[in-house]
Amino acid sequence: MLLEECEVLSNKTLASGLYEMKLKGPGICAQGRPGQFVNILVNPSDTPLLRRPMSIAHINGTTFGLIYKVFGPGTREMSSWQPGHMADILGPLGNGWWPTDDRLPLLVGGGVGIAPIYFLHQRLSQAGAPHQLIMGARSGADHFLEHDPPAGVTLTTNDGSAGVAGTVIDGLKAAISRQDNQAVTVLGCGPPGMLRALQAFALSNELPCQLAVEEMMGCGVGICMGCSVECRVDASLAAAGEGHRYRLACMDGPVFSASELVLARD
Amino acid sequence: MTDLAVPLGRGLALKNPVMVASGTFGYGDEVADLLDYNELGGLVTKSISLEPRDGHPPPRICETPAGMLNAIGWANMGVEAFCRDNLPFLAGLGTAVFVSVAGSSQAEYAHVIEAVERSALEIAGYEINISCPHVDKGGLEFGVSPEETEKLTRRLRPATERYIIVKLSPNVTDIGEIAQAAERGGADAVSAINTVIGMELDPATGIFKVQTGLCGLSGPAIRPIALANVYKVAQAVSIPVIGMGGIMSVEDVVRFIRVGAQAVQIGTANYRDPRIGLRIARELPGYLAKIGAPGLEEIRGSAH
Repeated sequence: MLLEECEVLSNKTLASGLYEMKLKGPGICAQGRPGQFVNILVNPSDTPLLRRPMSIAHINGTTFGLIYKVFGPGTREMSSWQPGHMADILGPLGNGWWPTDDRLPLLVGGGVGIAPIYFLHQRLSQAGAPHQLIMGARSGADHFLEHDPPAGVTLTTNDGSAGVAGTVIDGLKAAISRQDNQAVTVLGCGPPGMLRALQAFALSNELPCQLAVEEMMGCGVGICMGCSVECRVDASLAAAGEGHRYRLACMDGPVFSASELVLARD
Repeated sequence: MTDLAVPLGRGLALKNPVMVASGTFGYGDEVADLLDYNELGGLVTKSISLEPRDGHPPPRICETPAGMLNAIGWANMGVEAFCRDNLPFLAGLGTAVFVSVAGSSQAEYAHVIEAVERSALEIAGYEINISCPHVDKGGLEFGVSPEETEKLTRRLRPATERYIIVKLSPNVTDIGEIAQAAERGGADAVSAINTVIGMELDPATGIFKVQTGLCGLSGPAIRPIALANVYKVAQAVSIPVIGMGGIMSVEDVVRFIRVGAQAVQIGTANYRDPRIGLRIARELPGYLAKIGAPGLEEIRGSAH
């Protein structure tokens, strides 16, 4: 973890409503792993007061990327940053995805949840590690990759305008059907509805599954305890007074096992 | 170089007046990668209860104009795990460490202090949290009543030879009266303010932004409220007052000193920058020189 002054190298629209910012940050790049995030100070004044946590979307040398949507005042401010802007960034934070043993990783991303999934895809591709990438969006204009199932990239769209028509679950089923009974692991990140669908799919099919959650964060480093995530407590641990019902997205996550997460309704 | 040392009584002195506030700096070494804790005037831990507490369900926090709301609900690992896993690191620091004590009853507060005392690890003292606005039982139940505040402080006083700070709430009719009760009960100092009761909700759905509805507001939004309360407390008691509430800069620290604070605590600003306390402590001599103040003592209580 370090605080680094990072120079904005580029900041532009990647797809409909989606921005990509590239920043120079040698320290963050040297340590960052897929699934980790950075916490960005967006304004030197009092409002917005808190940093904005964002997953690392890729690292190339000493440059890292963020993929974000403009949701409120913080991301609106960020979308105005020009190349040369110096950003105060804390990172890398949290824990990344963990190894999937001999199982084939099936990477599933939707919404801004594509960022940590894309980073994992990048790292696995660089390592020549077999995997499948499934990206979901409402329509083709929201995607920035090409639908290419033979190359391991499956896009899904709700309106059927690109790739597989339907949700990431349909894309996941299609990717699984292409495997010859090979054991798989699902690694996912996306909006709450998508996480719930992935969790239900993985649990009912008895697939190991790691999900990265997004929570409102105060600090990103475990000192405010604001980003609680409800987790099932193992019965034997609970009897011994151990095991916490709430864990912290920033310190214990943001990647959790689907089997322990209790996902709230929207 | 201006001497920033702050005498607090009971043989305790802070190396500078800038502490970090309870609940805003974790349990121990969370941000030790980012700063040398030894440059801080003092550190108050997350509030520790006798047994582990789950805390409140999410969402626990919400950003507001120039501030934030929180209802963490005293989520903590309990005093036994704290003494085993975190206190050795804290006791090894060269800064004044205060354990924040939470409880649902007088006995629970006392048992937490006794457990820390049994560990025989060296800390500066305790901050008694009688002002948390968002727990079901305990906390503010004591902090709104002068009688309960005095009784609790009197009960805890014999449990330790170390320094006792009683942390006060602004959510009362007369904070000066509560401060006097803590003084009568044997507190070495009082700190103020804890968060201000607040609320935020979605206008379209009516859903609270923080799960508990009622929660605590902090950050620069409450600084004028904090200054007024610290001013009142400093007028009311003769023991040291530790001021806090929305401090973001060295100028804010001097504002609190001028209304009578002996020392200050940085809270919500730590979330923006965990190094801010250290930075402000370093800036303080230069700022005092700039305004022509020889030292802190010369400007303390000089608001007019």
